[in-house]
Amino acid sequence: MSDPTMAAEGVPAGQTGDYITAAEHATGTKEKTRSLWSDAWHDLTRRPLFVISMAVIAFLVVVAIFPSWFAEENPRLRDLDRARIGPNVPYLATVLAIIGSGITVIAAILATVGKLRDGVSRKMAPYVAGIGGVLLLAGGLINSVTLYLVIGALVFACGVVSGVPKVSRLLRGNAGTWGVVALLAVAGGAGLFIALDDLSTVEVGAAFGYDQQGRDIYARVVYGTRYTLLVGFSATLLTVLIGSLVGILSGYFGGWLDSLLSRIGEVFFGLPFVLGAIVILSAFRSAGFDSAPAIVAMVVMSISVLSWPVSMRIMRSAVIAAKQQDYVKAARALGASSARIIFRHLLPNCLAPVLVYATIALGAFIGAEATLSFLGIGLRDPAVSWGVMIADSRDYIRASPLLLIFPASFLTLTVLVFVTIGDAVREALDPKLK
Amino acid sequence: MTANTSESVLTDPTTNGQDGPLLEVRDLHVEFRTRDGVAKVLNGVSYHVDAGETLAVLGESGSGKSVTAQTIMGILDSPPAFVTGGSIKFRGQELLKLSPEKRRLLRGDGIAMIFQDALSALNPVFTVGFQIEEQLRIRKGMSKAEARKRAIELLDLVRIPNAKGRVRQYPHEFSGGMRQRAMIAMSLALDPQLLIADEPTTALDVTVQAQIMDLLAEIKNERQMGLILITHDLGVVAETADRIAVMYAGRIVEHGDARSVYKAPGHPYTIGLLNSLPRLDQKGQTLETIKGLPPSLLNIPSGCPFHPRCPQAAPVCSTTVPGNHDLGNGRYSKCHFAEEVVRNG
Repeated sequence: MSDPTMAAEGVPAGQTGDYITAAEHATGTKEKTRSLWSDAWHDLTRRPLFVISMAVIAFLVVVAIFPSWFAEENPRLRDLDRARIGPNVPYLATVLAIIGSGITVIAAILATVGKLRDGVSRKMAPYVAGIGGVLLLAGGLINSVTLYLVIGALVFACGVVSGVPKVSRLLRGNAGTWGVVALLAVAGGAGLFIALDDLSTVEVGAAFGYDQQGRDIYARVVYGTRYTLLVGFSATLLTVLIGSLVGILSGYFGGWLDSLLSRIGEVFFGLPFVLGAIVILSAFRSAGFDSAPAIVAMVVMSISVLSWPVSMRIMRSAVIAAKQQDYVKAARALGASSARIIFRHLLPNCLAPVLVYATIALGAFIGAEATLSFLGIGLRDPAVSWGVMIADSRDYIRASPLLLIFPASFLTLTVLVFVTIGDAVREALDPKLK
Repeated sequence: MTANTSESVLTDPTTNGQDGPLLEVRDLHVEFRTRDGVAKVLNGVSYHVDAGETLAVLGESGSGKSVTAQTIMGILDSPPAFVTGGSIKFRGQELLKLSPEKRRLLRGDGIAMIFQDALSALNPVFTVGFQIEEQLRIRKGMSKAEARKRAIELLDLVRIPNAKGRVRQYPHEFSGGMRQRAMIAMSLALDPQLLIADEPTTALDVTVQAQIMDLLAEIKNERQMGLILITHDLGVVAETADRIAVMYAGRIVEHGDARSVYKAPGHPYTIGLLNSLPRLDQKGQTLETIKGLPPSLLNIPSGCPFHPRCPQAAPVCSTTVPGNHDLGNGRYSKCHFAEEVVRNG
């Protein structure tokens, strides 16, 4: 950072008038001041993977809140006549192609914006085009539609060409870039046109097929998003709240309180996660918690009770490190009370590591919920989650693997997205990596 | 957290003793109880500061300068630090007997402190303005707008250019000298009567050092504050201090007015300190140093703690702890041969 007023500091203090004008001149242009957080946000919005992950999460959250917008079928409607019917391949392929083409069009728009106004979109466009291409290719592959395959390959190639630095050098100059933009726009438009046309010829519905009890898998995946995310978010929130509070107390006050709280934390830390959760959940299972909210609450509680020591340790060490800083001493020297020092001065400085843990833990907790559900002690009917679906499919894995593959791929994608975000946040908040 | 509008323990007229010094530290003992044993960090420190006066506390690292200051402020971490004896009187009021809450309210309001490294003493996540305004809002009950106005005035007072724009900036956007100025502004916000500056210029370059010292001296004169200047830089002291207290191994080994201590030091340690200053009139000479290391506070030498390093040590030095030798005019030295040392200078 070049500080324009550095020069002004050198002027002897006597000549006040002179250097004030000099400094005013130097700082005349209004530069926006940035805090650590706005700086990190600025950095994050320039990472394509972060932006794409956030978009995916935003979409998942919308699905979780309004599942009926995305699936008309009732996820609990059983019809044994249609048990384990495979996916509606032509419909699925067409929908994939429509989404892929739509994303390709978005990539073209991003590339245009990036070309006209230098910005994030320039970096994003290749990734988005790549995703669009893969979806088109997938649509073409599962239903052997040559047109989708050709368009998909073309779009994917565009993404690679403009995304890989060595290759993109070939396209330097206006003609090359505009050529790629035009190609993307035409390919996306054509794909959209063809796929929408195909949609009228295929039978609509049951994109993912039906499960062993004849329930629509697609509808269940959509409705399962709600419970999966609900468990993930609540467990993370609760874990971080308990952990941070205990961590702050033991880090700030130290002494016997620290020893006591740390030992308690270690006891919980020592419990094996799966075993502990099995004990807690099976103990309360017989206690008659049968409504969906009660089941969710039990799962959330057992995850948090067993994982808060991690966030407590992170918070505690952050507080101990920050407590040594002179600004805490300075705050005390100016007569600030303990509560004020903890919540106004320490907390904002200790939040970063816990926040990073929280984003990564969110993915892990979604996985943990699936694990517990798979073991038959987590969520269960009437609550639908991806973990429950995976558990239901366990006896049919060899006969109809698709029962497993659809919920499992959504689970994997979601966990991956949260871990990616956690990684990006960690890098953005770590000054050493800048 | 009390958001009282009149948070002050100083309004009580009975405690407002006008006679006697602003701050009087008497025979202060502090020890650090560590795993390796008890470190006697302060062994009977006594000094006083009057309003409008600058006392410079000199000494090597580990001599107890900062611990004394932090004991006065009451911000030592306990454990490991324990005050084992002595008294600290601020305007006639015994600080060591005040309740923690009353002491807290005295901080900032009565006694304020400036730290050595202003970057780490300013909270990185808040704007400089916020950090000044916070105290004004909580302690003086000012509104946000009033506090902002006052913060700009304070930044102007410490000569931060373009104070209006600067209040909204974060500490990392300030240069080293400006951070120290901001720190001073922060400590002045509640109009303290005593300001303790703990090595305020150590982290700065020489020209900025001079500016900061001038600024401190000026503010002190304007407000008739007491100023305790803790430093190991004799150059800084020579210009600004009224009186000097030299510390060694947790005690004041020499005390007197600045001029006469410089002219004719009364303790071999002070001589050693003065000799280890580089001088402009003697070119090409190796800098003199004090031989040896400061003593371990876990194991302070018998007799005079300075005797293992003292060029003039006699047998009596290793057996008997020297008392205060009065050198007249408020000067004293803890050396068996103080009078001789002054004469031979």
